[in-house]
Amino acid sequence: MRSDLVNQLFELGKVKGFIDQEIYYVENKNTEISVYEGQIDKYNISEDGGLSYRGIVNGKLGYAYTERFEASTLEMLVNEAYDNAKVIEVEDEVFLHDGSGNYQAIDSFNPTLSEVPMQEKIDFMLTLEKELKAFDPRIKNLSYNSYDEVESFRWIKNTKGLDVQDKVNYCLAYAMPVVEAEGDTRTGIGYDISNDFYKLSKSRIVEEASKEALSLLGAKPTKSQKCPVVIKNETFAQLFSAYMGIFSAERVQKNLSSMAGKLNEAIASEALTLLDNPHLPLALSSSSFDAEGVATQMKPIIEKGVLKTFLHNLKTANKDGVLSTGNASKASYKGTVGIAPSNLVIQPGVTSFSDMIAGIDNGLYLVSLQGLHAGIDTISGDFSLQCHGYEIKNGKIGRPVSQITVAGNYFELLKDIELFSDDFRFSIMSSDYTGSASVKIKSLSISGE
Amino acid sequence: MLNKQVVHDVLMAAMSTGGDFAEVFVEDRFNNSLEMIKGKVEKSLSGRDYGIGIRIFQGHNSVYTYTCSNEKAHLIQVAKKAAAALKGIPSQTGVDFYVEAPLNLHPVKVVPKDVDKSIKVELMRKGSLAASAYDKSINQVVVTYLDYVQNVLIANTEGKFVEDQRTRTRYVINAVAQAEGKMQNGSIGKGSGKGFELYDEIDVEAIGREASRIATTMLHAKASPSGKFPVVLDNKFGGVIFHEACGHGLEATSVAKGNSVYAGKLGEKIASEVVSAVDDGTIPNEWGSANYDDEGTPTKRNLLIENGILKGYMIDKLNARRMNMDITGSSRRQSYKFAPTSRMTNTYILNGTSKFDDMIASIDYGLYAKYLGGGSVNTVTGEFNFAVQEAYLIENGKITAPVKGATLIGTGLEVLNKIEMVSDNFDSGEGMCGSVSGSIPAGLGQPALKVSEITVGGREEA
Repeated sequence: MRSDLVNQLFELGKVKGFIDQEIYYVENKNTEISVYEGQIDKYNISEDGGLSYRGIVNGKLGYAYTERFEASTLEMLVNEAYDNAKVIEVEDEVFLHDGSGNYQAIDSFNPTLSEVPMQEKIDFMLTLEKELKAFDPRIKNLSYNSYDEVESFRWIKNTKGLDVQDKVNYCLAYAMPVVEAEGDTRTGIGYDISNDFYKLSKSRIVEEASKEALSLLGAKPTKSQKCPVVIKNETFAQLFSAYMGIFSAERVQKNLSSMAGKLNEAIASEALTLLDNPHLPLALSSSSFDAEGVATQMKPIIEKGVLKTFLHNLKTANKDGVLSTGNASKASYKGTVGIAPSNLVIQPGVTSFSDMIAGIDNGLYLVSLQGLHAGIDTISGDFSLQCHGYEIKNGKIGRPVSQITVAGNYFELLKDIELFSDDFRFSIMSSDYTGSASVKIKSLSISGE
Repeated sequence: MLNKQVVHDVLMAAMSTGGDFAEVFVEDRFNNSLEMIKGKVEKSLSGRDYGIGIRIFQGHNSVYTYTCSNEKAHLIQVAKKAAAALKGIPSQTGVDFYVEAPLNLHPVKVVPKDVDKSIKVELMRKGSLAASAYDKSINQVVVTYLDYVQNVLIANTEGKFVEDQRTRTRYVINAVAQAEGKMQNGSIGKGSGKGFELYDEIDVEAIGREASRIATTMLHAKASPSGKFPVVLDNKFGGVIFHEACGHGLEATSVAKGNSVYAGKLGEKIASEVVSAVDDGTIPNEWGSANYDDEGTPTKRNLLIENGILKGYMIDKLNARRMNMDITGSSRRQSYKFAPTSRMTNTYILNGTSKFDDMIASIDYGLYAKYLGGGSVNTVTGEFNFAVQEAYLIENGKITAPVKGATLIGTGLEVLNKIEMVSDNFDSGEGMCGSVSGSIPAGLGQPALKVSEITVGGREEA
């Protein structure tokens, strides 16, 4: 994106009547490699980008975006943003940030990543497939596998003095083996993530992907019951992340969250402390500024079960008479500004995983939850989800179980957390980049036979 | 959208390293969306998507690349960079395009982009007011409106050169009821491949009232029982059960590599004989319809299951090579950012002969699932799940108390064989379907079905 085009855009906007104006520009480069039976199955390389424009006119904020850049597009942006501002009816005060604040420097770009020859990345995946198939004769196939490399540049500039940019990159490799024995089929997933290609570990992916899938072979339903449940670290991170919207000040102000009025109250067990940490090295959502260009900050959202803050952007903070928490977000350049956490860290405990299991006579250990986009209700808190896992009998992990559901209410679950073990890990499957340790819940409803 | 000579030269650059097929997909799309919360417009957003995807095959290998730039030199450079992943010598040095006469099986009367935003706002306000007025427990109403026009150009080295335009409109109301410290939402929407004339045909106030009716009914509902029992799944969005339990497993994406429970079962009985199903992308102006699929093949009505016998899969060009079978005109993608692959268009279970009332009357204790929510499936194992938005108990042959929080789970083959009765009240619904080639509008539909036994996940013991 050229600076002169931005200046030209701001000139056009000024003539149209916009008081303050801002651009949010993104440029991405992506590589994806998948293999199948010793050959490249899919090889995708791409570049894309887009420009979001927004401006304030008559106290209303209008947005428009484009992926095509030519002279007529600039006019389209200004005219559409103007028409969009005109139909806005909410009276909320709107602002653009002036660039003040303390921006923490974050090193999230590794220039050597894209210099690693493509052939090495292809070979990595070919070897990964070979090693996976050699790991165990019951591994039949890979359903999905991919090496993904992402490079992303972001620039926000406005007419109030804000001018910030950052560049991040990372690589991710994953594989999903299909295992088969005695007519039963199971799938697993293993992955590793880094911004240094040479740190990706094939053996870690192979082990993780295979072991769980193999040990789930022969899984059958268990009886319907209410019992203590242990949820695996990454799996709990996914469930937790699916409910994160309830802490958004926007949802609270709009009466779409039952967390309204609960600031500084105990909403969860004392075992739960949750941090929003945008400054973690090598984490997917690290950044020194948010989608409005406001400096980000580390803070507890829940401390020993007590709700400490909602997540704010400039608009919601002004409404509540507080400062923005630096959680303005945009899903892409296409969206309007909303609210989202950065990297979420659920503080682990000190008990080992095996000691946690040892304390349970009869219960279940769940390693995967399906249908998180459909089977949860963030308004009522109710959830009912298909799951897989193992029985826990007399302090030991027993036979695998499947074709069961786990149901409960999230707000009750938060209070029923008994403890976290010490096996903290980030999940790449959660909607926010969330890390958790395995957790023991006092009781949940299992539906099976 | 892109000059024919430029398309030609880009295709040739893509073929320069021994590819045996190349394709160019140009997309120019204009999106509009509005959101109204509690009767006031809170968001209005519009914008233009533009990009070009280039795909190359060499045998079973495929390479895909995309860019937002339409400059010839840049496109050729991008094509060559992608082609560098293949090794070989060029086998084709030119292509004569056969420009197909544009099809227009889905005519749009009123182009949504030409309708003033204020008219769309009034339409949203009508639905919002009706939802709010339904009951005093309704304390929040969110109305979402969206429309888009997607123009595409698809050309390939077989000489195909087609242009197509797809219009979509969607209107959704989400109502939240609140009382005694509990909150519950209800959601109803309508999506279509029609233009703004859709709103002459549907009653947005009824949509608002229906969303509020679900929210208030479910607010006072007790928790669903758990266990295995008979379930009646009603029509419209009930079709999500076939979409998840079977449809995804019939996409070549999973069949071609044997990663589907339905692989290798053509001609075999996979479902109860009362089940017949189709995937049909030709239904005029339907949510999942188009003149051409995203590989430029005219869409078709594909018979999937006839009287319980598996009759066909949904197959795209690449997987057609692997499976040694014909393409079915159902290769789709979210945008130029995705390589296309076999996906569902409008997937329906066809009408049977049973009566809804007889189904209910045949059950001593079970569940009536009136409105389903979304779901998902693992096509390798066939295990699926979906949520129920509005459900009732069936006791002694009658629909009784509402219950909430139910999820239905099972495996595809098992549930297809347990479909005991198929009624005659077919109706369709609309959803967004997410898979390897992105999120696309997918039509669903069925008449009410009775499944003899399915695992219901709830919070209470039956």
